[in-house]
Amino acid sequence: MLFFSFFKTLVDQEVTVELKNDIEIKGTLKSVDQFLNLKLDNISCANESKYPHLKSVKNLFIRGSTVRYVHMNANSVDCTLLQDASRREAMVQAQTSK
Amino acid sequence: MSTSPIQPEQTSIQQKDPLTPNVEDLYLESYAFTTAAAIVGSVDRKIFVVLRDGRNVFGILRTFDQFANLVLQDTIERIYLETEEAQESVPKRFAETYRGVFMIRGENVVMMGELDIDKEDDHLQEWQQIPFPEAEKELTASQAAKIKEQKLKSKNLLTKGLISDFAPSDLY
Repeated sequence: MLFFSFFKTLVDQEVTVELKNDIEIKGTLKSVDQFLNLKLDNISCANESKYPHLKSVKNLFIRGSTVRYVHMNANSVDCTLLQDASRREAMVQAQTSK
Repeated sequence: MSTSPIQPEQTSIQQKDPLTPNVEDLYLESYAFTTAAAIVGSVDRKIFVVLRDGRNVFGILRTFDQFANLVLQDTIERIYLETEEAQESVPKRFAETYRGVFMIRGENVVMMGELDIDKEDDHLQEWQQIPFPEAEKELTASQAAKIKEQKLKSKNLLTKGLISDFAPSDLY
């Protein structure tokens, strides 16, 4: 659930989502869930020729399984905090598996 | 008298969206899993869905569940035929057909979004409509060519010890 929490901290920030079909969609992250499905507002698309109707779209729900990358502003990521959290989660997992 | 200062605030919320003022926010608070909550604001609105096999469907969202299984009413399927950039003089072509009530299993959804019904047909001005069977035939042919090309690529990659993540069922 670490990355779910991580994405929750990015809510209301501008992100670019790259899908597995090489399409990049920029927008404001509005919501995320445990499958990392994303909901974006105010979207704009780099290559609109494949989905020309995206121009008239108000908000977009993207299924997590089709996402390849999420690009975000480096300032919005606290790497030390993320590292700490990963270690803590790994520790908890190691303890529960014993 | 004490209630009067609150009133202007309430009217401002109503002005933002007279039909469903912040339904989504109410739902999000009461739901642990926001997959379903994220879609609730689009119920009874016109939406588009991109499916994993590359289909574009447009219709009115009537219901959904936590897996993003969807039921659309008055659905239209539209095919956009991609042309090479060099052929600027040839108008881009599309086709559409009526599909009626459409139930989509969640796993096949790539993305979905609410359409601005005032602007949804704007981009079609530059496009030329052709009969649906014709477009379907052309699309099937181009998809078959793509699968063939990708299979060859995967094979070549494999000889170099690399794998590709191409699946013939994913044509979006």
